[in-house]
Order: sequence, then C-alpha cells, then structure tokens
Amino acid sequence: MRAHGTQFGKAFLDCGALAAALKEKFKEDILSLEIRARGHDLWLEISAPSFRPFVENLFEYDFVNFHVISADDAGDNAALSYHLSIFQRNRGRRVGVTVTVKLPKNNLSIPSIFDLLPGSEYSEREIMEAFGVSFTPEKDGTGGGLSAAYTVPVGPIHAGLREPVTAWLELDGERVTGADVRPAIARMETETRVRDPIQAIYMAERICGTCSFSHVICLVRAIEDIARMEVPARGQYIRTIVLELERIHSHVLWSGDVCRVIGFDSAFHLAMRIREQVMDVLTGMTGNRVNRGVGAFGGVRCDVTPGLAKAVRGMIRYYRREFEPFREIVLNDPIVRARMRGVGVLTSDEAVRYSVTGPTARASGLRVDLRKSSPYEAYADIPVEPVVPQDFFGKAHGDALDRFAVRVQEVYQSLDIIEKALDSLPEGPFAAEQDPDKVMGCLKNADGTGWGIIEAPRGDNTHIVRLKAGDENVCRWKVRAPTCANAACWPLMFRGSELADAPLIINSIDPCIACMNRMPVKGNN
Amino acid sequence: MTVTAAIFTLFLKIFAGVALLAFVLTLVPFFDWADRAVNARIQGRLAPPLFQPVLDILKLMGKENIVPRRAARFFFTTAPWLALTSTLMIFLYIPAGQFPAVLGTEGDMILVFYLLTLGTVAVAVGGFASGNPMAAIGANREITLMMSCGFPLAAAITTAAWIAYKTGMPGEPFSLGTFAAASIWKAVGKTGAFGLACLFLSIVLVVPGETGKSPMDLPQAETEILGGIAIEYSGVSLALLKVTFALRSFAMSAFVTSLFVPLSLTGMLGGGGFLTAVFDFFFFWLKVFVIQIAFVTLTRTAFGRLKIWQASRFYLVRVAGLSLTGMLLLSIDVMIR
Repeated sequence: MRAHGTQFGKAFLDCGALAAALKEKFKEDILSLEIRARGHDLWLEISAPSFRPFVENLFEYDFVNFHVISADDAGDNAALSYHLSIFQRNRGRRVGVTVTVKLPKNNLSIPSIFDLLPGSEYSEREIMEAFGVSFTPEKDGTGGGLSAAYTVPVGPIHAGLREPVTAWLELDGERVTGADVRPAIARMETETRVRDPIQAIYMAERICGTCSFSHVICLVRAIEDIARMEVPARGQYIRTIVLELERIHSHVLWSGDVCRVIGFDSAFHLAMRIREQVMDVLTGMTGNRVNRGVGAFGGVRCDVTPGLAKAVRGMIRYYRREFEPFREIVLNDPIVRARMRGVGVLTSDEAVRYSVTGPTARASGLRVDLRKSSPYEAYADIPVEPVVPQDFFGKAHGDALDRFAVRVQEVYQSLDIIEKALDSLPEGPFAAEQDPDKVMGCLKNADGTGWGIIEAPRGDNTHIVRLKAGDENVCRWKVRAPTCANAACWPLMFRGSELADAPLIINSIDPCIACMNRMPVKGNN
Repeated sequence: MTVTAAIFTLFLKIFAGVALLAFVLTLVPFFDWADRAVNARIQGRLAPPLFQPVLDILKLMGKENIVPRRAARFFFTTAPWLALTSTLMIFLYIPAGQFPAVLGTEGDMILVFYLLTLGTVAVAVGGFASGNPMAAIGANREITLMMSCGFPLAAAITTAAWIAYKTGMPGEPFSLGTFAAASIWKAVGKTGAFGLACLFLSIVLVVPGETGKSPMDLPQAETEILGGIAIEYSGVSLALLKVTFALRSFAMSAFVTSLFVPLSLTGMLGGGGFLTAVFDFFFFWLKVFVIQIAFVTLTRTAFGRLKIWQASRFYLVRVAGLSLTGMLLLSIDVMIR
C-alpha cells in the first residue's frame, strides 16, 4: 500500500501551483495542459510511457481520489482519460485532474493502477471489456472465490435489499468468514452515444429515481462547460434549492430503509411519513414527483414564486419540528446502537485508498464534500462544511451508525442551505435562454470534452460528455454514479461481520445499482 | 371412585377440553388482528379488516402444500402439527378465572414450560428438515433463543412455587390453580413484592423471546434470513405455523396472566355464583388481551431486532440477573417474616 504524501500540507492546494509543479517534473512528457476555471480542473495529456510514473507522482499530494476512466476514439489512437481528484484532507480543497493517454490501436496496453487505487477495478475492467485495452499486469478475472462448504447468498432478490446486489457469504455459524459481493449482473457504466443534448437531459433524469436532478445537473454542467454557457444567478440558486430538496428526500428515504432492515418498522413508517412533505414541495415546484423535468442548459425551467417559497419555508419548519423526534428516537435507541455500532467498519485510510465518496467517505472521517472543495452553483455563496462524525461523536468509527448519523445531520444542513438560498434568492431571469432552438444552435457549434462533477446525495456524480462541432448529437457520454466507487469496499466492510449484518452493510452505502448499471447504447450516427 | 364416575369425569374433561380449545382457536385470529391493528395504527397505517387473519388462514388451507425435494419429508410435514398441538395443549393447564384448568390436576407449571419448549423444538425441527440454509440458520437461532430464555423462565416458575410452598398458599405449589385462587402478591411482604416485581419483569421480558416477536424475531427475521424457519413452508403447513406463532403469544400472555395477575371480578365485586364465574372467565381473557397488547404488540412496535448473540446475552446476563435478584429478595422476605 502506498502512503499519500503531504505536499501542500500547509499551503492551500492550488490549480496553478499544481500545474507548475507537474510541468517542472515531467517537462516534455506533458503533451498539453489546460486549466479550466469553472470546474477547478486541470486537463492534461501525457505520453504513454510516463503515465504510470505520473500517477505515482500524484501520490505526493494528499490525497488522490479516482473517479472514472473514459475512453474515446482518436483516429489511429484510443484516448483513455483518467478522471482523478486531489483532495486536501483537512482543508477541504480539491483539484480535478484529467489525465489523457493516447494508445496506438495496434498495441492497446497500459499499466494498471489497481495496486495504487483499488477503486479503479470496475473502470479498468469495463474499459477492457468495451475497448479491448489490456491493463498490465493482468488480474485474475475470476475473483477471490470462496472455499468453505457453507456459503449462503444474500440477494440478488432479498427482502432486506432495495437493490439487486448479490453477496455470497462464507459462514461459520453466524459469523462471516469470507464475502464475495457482486453488484448487479453486468458491470457496465454508461458509455453511450445518444441523441441531442436536450433529449439527453431526459435520459439523464431517468438514470435514478432518487437523485434524478443530480444526474441532470451533472450532465448539464458538463455540456455548459464545453459550450461556455453562463447560468444566471437566480437559475443557480434554484438549482441549488432543488438539489438540496432532493438530498433531503434521499437521506430521509435511506434512513427509514435502514431502520426497516434492522427490523425497526415503526421508524421506517415514521421516516416515510416525514418524507412525503419534501415530495409534496418537489411536486409543487417542478410538477413531478420523481422525474422533475426542470433541468435546462443555461438555467432551469421553473421559477420559485413567492407562493412556492412560502411552501418551502413551511416544509423547513415541519422538518425542524418532526425530523428531530425521528433522529432522537433512532440515534438513542439501544437496539439501533447495538445493531449499527461497529458494523461495516471502513477506516479513513481505506476510504482514501478505495476512493470512497460522499456520506460514506465522510462517515469514515474524511472532510470531503464537493460543495465545499469545488463549489458549484450557489454553493459559492453559501458556505458548506462537510459533516463528519468526529464533530459530534468525538471520533469517527466509520461504521453503519456513523453513516446514519452523517446522513441525518446532512438533512439539517440541507435545510439551512435551502433557507439561506431562499433568503438571498437573486432577482432576474432563471435561465439564460428559454428557446430550445437557440440553445440547440449554440450547442451545435460546441466542441470538446466536459466533466460535470457534483455532490449528489450518495456521493460525487461524474458525467463526462464529448461534443463535436457541427454534430447535433452527443458524441460520447459517460456516467459514473457514486455507488460505483462505494461498492468496491463492500468486501472490506464484511470483515468480522455476521449474517444478520449483511443487508445493513450492503444498504449502509446507500447503493443504487440502477445508477451504476447500464448497457451501452449506440445512437443513430 | 366408581368406574362410571371415572368415565363421566373423562367425558366431562374431553367435552370441556374441546370446548375450551375451540374457544381459544376462535379467539386467536382476533387477538392476532388486534396485534396487527394496534401495530398499524401506531405506525400511522390503516389496520387490516377484522377478518383478515381468518381469511389468511383459510386461503392458506386451500393452497398447495409444497415439500422441497431436499427436505426430510416426515419431519418437515409433521413438525407444524406437533408445534400446534403442543402449544394448544398449554391452554388445558391454564385456569381461566374461577374455572379450574381442564387438566389442572394432571399437570402443572413444569409441564407448561415443557410444552412451550416442545413447541419451539418442533418448529426448529421443521426448519432443519426443510433443507434450506436460511431455515437452518433460523432454527439455530430458535434453539439458541429458547435455551437463553429457559433460565429466567425456570427461575420465575420455581421461585413462585417455592413462595407458595413456604407461605402456605392453599393448593399444590407447582399448580397454576394455586396462583389463580389466591394472589401471590398478597402472600409476600414489601421486600417480597419487590422481588416479585423483578420476577414479573423478567418473565415479561422473556415473552418476546419465547414467542419470536420483535425485538427477538430472529428465527424469522424477514429482512435478514427471509422468514427463516418458515421459508419453505406453504399451504396447510404454513397455516399451521401461523396459527402456532399466534397461539404462542397468546399462551405466553395467558401463562403470565394466571401466574402474576390474579386480579378477578369476584375479588373486586364480592359474591359468587355461576354468573360471576362466567364473567370472571371472560375477564380472564380480557386480562390476557391487555397483557398481550402491552408486552407483545407494544414491544414489537417500539424496537428493532437484536442479533442472536446480543439477544442471548440479554437473556443470560441481564434478565437472568433480574430474576436472580427477584429470587434473592423473595428469600430475604421469607426469612425476615
């Protein structure tokens, strides 16, 4: 295992300084370098031989987070883009680093970074399957395998699981001595060619029922990044409000579901009842309960009228009043504590190593939150502090109870954010351009690759979109949902657990297989 | 006793037994309904219709009884019958109000304890016999839970009998009739009442464990082992199991009631006669109802599920400690008087 260094330990991590440091070190090996202001991102292309030393060098900074590998056809070459982030552990700063490597098509081989960043496993395997790129040294494709005679499957269809996850557990009595976890059946993320960008919005929305708007904003931001499209302040604030409402919905739904998994049905029903309020507000705001249909390039498609603002404030009051008893009951319940404390432990070092993201990472004590580290939309004006268990429990255990407490605490945080956003909601238009034809005209001329990354309820959502000038359609579109990163550490969480913990451990990262699991679609071009 | 008298007594007992069991079996779906309804209302849901539990059982009776290929057929199919019979038999040893237990003279509390255990073992055997690993885990849990509950339950029973013997309560010390006829609470002093309260609490805490209701619903644990012991059952066998599970809560509540809640209308209103006895009979089932709602339904609504070692430790350390405290206090009470 490679330790993460401490460069920039005291100073603020800065995109320009990082670029200069890398340039000095790798000189001619860096073929191109670009800083994109809006995304706080560094885009660079590196020659194939120095790819592995380059990634190793990144470990001098604290700490490297792997997002996804996207691939594209570049004439005689195949271009692999590694999307990474460098986080500053205690200062909550982040720089996105996209490393592109071009591989000649007659020799599609690249050193694997699995030993450095085990979270890259799914991505590497996927690129291998879809593009025929071989990652050296090759891994055994069969997985670890289980030895004991007594193995029990939990899932894919299981009363305790919302998602089709299969965990083969090797049991000694009730104790789990080995676990082989297989998220879903196929291991595909989207690598797709779809129709035009506006149609893509509605496809993005249907990726997930819970965090549908997060996926939309992710896609929209990636494309806006390419087209250099500006969003009016009011549009940004409304996006923020809807995103935070969605986070409340997701977290409340999850907290209820986890209670159900440990047999605490009353708390589950309480959570479901509380959740209805936020669903009502979302319905009032967007007209839809699940797929909101309000995402648009250069803004949003709905306004927050004074009446709606009043309804949202009413909802906030309701939550402050009704969610508190739920939190009190569940967090102080001796049985809940007995069931969740020390279950599914993921230490902060492991969380770093496996590129874990979102509330799962924060529950392991990492102060990472994209809303703080690379503020987007209205988060630039509204300060957000990452919620970590050491702040209220004194110590981060990285177990299921910490994950529960972090999510519950984030509901309050979201309420505060919505309230602040409503208080300082700027006047003006909520979209730069409402005519879809004009938007399409603008997007048709856009060219390049964009990376949209935002803090969705479950962790960071990553969309990578490629547009070609003169082409109406989205050329390539890759989606990496947070579950894809978090699912990799399930086997770690199963250490020392019992059969009774299995559904709780699987649910504790709030998995969404529907988010991460898709088939490749080939468009009409 | 002449032969005719013996035959007459036998027929009377058979008649009384059949009538009582018919009464119990009629009552049990409605107790089950009340359990579900109270649970639903507390959780803010709609309660099921009054006849839902009856209809559930009737529906299952008409369904195919599937025996898995890997199951041990004989044990798999007979286990639910054995479980139901032994659980049902408990009612023959429980006096209801002024009516003595049908087989009151033939068996006592130890037999009730034994029948409870037999029912549990039968259910576990059915689980093991089904050939499903989840059911095997459920059966394992059932047995572990039964063994953990055994100590506090036995401590409560023997202590109560010892008190009855020492304080000279009329009747056989181990017979439930003794405790139905005279209040055990009145037989002891203040320290003893404390001790009895400890015993009462420990036996009440044992109720979820013996009946397999939350927080001790581990043998079935829907979200962990998918119904556990009952996973492979269907049709008539499942109907029998469902009735058994409902009967278990009912029997445990009735047992607790007759041992520790001797409150009777006769005592309160005075007087006697057949009418009061009939009233008392129904009053007894009302008490059982209240006990069941309080210690089965409300408990299962208020808590989540423990893990098996946690449940076991809870019973073997905390509840056992509580019942030992009760024993100690009662011994002191008897000594200082």
